[in-house]
Amino acid sequence: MTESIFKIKNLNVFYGEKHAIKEVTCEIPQRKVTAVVGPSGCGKSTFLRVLNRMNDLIPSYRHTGSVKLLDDEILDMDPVLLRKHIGMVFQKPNPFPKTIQENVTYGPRIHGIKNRQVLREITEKSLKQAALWDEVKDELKKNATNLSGGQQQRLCIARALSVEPDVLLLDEPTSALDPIATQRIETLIEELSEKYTIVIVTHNLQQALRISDCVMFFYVGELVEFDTTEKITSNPNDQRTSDYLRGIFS
Amino acid sequence: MIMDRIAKIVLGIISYLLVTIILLIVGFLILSGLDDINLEFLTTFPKNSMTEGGIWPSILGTAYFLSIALLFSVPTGILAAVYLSEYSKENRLQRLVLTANNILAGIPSVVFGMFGLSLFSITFGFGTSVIAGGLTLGIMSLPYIISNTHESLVAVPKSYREASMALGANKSETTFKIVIPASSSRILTGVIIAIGRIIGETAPLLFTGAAFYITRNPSSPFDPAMALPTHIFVLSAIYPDNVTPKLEGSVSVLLIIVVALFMSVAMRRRRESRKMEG
Repeated sequence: MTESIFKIKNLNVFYGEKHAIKEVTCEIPQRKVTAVVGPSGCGKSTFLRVLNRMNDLIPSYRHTGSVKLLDDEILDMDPVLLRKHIGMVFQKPNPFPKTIQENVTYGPRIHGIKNRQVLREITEKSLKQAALWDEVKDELKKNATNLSGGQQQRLCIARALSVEPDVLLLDEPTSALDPIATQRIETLIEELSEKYTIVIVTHNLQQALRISDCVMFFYVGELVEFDTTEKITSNPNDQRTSDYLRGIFS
Repeated sequence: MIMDRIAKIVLGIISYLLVTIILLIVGFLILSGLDDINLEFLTTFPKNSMTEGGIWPSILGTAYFLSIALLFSVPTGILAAVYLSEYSKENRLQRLVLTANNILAGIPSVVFGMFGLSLFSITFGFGTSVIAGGLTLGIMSLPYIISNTHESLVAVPKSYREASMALGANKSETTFKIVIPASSSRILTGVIIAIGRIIGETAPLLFTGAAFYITRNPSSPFDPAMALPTHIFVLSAIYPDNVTPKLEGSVSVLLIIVVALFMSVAMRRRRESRKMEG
């Protein structure tokens, strides 16, 4: 059994009066790929955004219960520090309208790195990790918005990796991409899982089964089932999980 | 079907008519003064009770008024807009400020002139001066810069802000390193439009900063100065017909500057929308 990076106990999430996540208790294993699946509106994106406190930006949001990153309660941590440990990649590729290099060095810069040589090394390392280096190494000064969608998304992954996080949160990272770009990202996720803990929300069940070690199945704000991918696909405990797997609701 | 076709024709005629009228007015005014413009006209002082000589002090004065106005309104306006779009909560106070700002933008410029006269010239004791006139024009352009900047900032996609925050940036870093640079081109376009308006304003300067006629350029911001629009006003309202060539030349110079500014705005807009598509 690997160690857990997140320990979550009795998590409840509210948006104003809306009870979005109900009594979730679970532990997310370190350096594994955990896929969060479930029908639309089941709270899977909300759950992901609890982990790096991105929900804090929404005024009506609050959560109760305990969410610990290793041994620290995330609500007691400085969100800036927390987000340095937890990178995030969004559904739609969202590179800044700056050069490729500036996109990658933005994170390190705001965390105080000024040395040009160091920033160059970070750029190269992050882009290599995101399998984008060979395609862009000669055009680092070009505007990132000129890249293709798939390249943009890999740039966003490189940008997230630039601050050396422990965890990578991916919120439906391939839903806006074509099949070939999707496949490249999936391969990349598998490579990255050797070094990073990855939590990926996906709408694409096949994708979840292909790349994940564990699967969390959410249904109307409840964590219905959380087990290894193997166990979930071969022998789910809950009727709702097996219904979802058979495509009865999507 | 027929209604659609009629509507299309009628609306088409109206809009082409409008463009033609504008082109005629602007073209006529620019052309009629064009042969009065030469290097001497642009670089010398008026002579012989302004019936001869050039408009150099008016050009320079307009530049002075404009500089003071922008020094005041650009930083103030941009910071106010940043507060409204990034920091203030979406509540009644924010809506009230935005509404008040829009009302302010609709107030006639002569009222700003009275305001400037009472506040800057009299209360602050600046008298008739470049600084009083510049600040008055600055206040007048402030609501426009605020609302344009606010719109530009609001148009920056939320995803940029989220990406920045997710990297551990705080609010100020996100605002000043991501959001403002992402909208800087649109903000600048708004500033150029404001410049176009400031340059043509006459009424506020008549109260606060415009000299009728000077023989030496202002040596400090507390001296009065001439300005292009007020010079045109003086020539057309006070003088008999014997200054017509100077008047036409001045109008032409002012219009060329304003048309050039607005054309640069149109070109920037085209470039921006092409960038959005590509």
